[in-house]
Amino acid sequence: MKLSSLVQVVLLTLSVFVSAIGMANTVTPDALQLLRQMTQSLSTLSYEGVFIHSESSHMNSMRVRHDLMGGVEYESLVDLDGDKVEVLRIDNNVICVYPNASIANTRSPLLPPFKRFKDLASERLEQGYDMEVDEGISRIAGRDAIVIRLMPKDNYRYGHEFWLDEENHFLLKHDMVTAQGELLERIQFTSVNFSPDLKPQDFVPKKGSYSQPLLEAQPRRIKNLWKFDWLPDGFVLVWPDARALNHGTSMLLLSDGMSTISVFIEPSMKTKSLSILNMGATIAGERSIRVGEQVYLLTMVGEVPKSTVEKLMSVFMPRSSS
Amino acid sequence: MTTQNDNAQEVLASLSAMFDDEATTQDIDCLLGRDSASLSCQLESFHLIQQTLHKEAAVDVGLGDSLVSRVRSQLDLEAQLDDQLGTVSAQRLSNVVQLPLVEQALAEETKATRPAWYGMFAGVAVAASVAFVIVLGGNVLQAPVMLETNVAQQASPENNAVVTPLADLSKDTLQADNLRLQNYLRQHAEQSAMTVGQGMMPMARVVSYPIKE
Repeated sequence: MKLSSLVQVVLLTLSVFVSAIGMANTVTPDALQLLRQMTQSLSTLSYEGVFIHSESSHMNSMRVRHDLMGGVEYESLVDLDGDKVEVLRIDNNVICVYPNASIANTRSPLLPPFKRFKDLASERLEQGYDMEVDEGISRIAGRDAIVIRLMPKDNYRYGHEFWLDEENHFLLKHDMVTAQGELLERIQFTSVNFSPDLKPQDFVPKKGSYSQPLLEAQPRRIKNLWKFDWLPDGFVLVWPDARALNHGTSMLLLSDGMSTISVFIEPSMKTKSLSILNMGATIAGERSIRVGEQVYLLTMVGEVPKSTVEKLMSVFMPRSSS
Repeated sequence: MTTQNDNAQEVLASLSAMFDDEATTQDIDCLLGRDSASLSCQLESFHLIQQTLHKEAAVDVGLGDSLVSRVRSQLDLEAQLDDQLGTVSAQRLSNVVQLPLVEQALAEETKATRPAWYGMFAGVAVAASVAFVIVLGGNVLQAPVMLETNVAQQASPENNAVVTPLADLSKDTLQADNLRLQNYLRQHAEQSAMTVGQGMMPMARVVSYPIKE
């Protein structure tokens, strides 16, 4: 009897200890775990909301809707300003909806912008950023939010702050900031509903609008003939091969798990000096490089500081033919 | 007498420059003050000389009395376009941050490519609601050849950044460059949206980019 009581006490103590650990994990999950859940929430939750996207002097409001109905995934993203172009995705079918045919004729069709995200590259993120979860709770769009900060470990990338819904870890707000804390770009929900009464009919283009179904073309993969002599910590080429675009252009993609830099290289008839352009957090650099008799135009676009693009452009070179 | 000879020489030099398609503003000013008929005769002479030298078959080059009047008409037309552009430029710039460099750059661009500007502004008026603003940043010269009259390359250090709508860079070569760059920006945004865990931000960029074909 005494032994039985002792066993019971030990088991009880153990269970309390284990559940305490479990609760601690639930209350203060690490930043990576939260970011992973944030990524998943975008494609698993039902939601309807309006958010503002602002960068530089430009601001846009958009409405996003997402739901799973009868095992079918429905998504829609509408630009509430400007031409009011809508992108619909019903499973793998993507439809661009324009207010009328004339606007459709002046706009390039959009490719699916918000398909499934790839998993978080935890190791690369840890190489490039210090991460912390704020102890306090903020409030965004009427909902309690946990704040995650990604602070760059060097000057080759920007910092990020994420406000995630405390309940379901949905992304409510995202700021991209310089090392000095200057705001570069922001996404912020002004309203969001996680129990939307959505029906399949809500994803049917309105009468009188002009719809254009899109077939997602598989990119042509070609051998990557280029390399970088140096990369910032955590940055790697996302694809082992290059992607072939029109007019003989090759595209490469670099990422540290958060920031991306696209590299475009194409044969050119003329040389061009280095020029740097920016729009909010996005920097674009262009210059020509000569390989033997051939001149190539190199363009890099990414959400990284200007100095990163400049340095990367100076260490970009052809792979040796051996 | 000497002055008359000098003037005649000057007119001949200007006419020759015009015939060789190398006339400067001074040459045109000089010719506009002369008798159209005599200039046309002289031009016919130049043409005959050229035909003889190059053993070309005689062709009608249309050098009639109307030459100078056509030059005048062209200048009048350009002046009209200038006025229209001035109005549209002022309206356009009232919507963006106005910096002296923008006005200077616009003035230089306008001088260089008036007809192209006119067509571009008509297009911009349609697309005004989705103007794609680019802040032109630093510029480090590395390659030997510069693009002519490139606003992006004239603007230097970042702290002197000029806010310029991308669509305003309207020279033909630049227009092609801008379309290419816009296409790249969107390719980048689309790939970023699917590759990294940034959530909505790359998606919003994709929808925001007003790519015009």
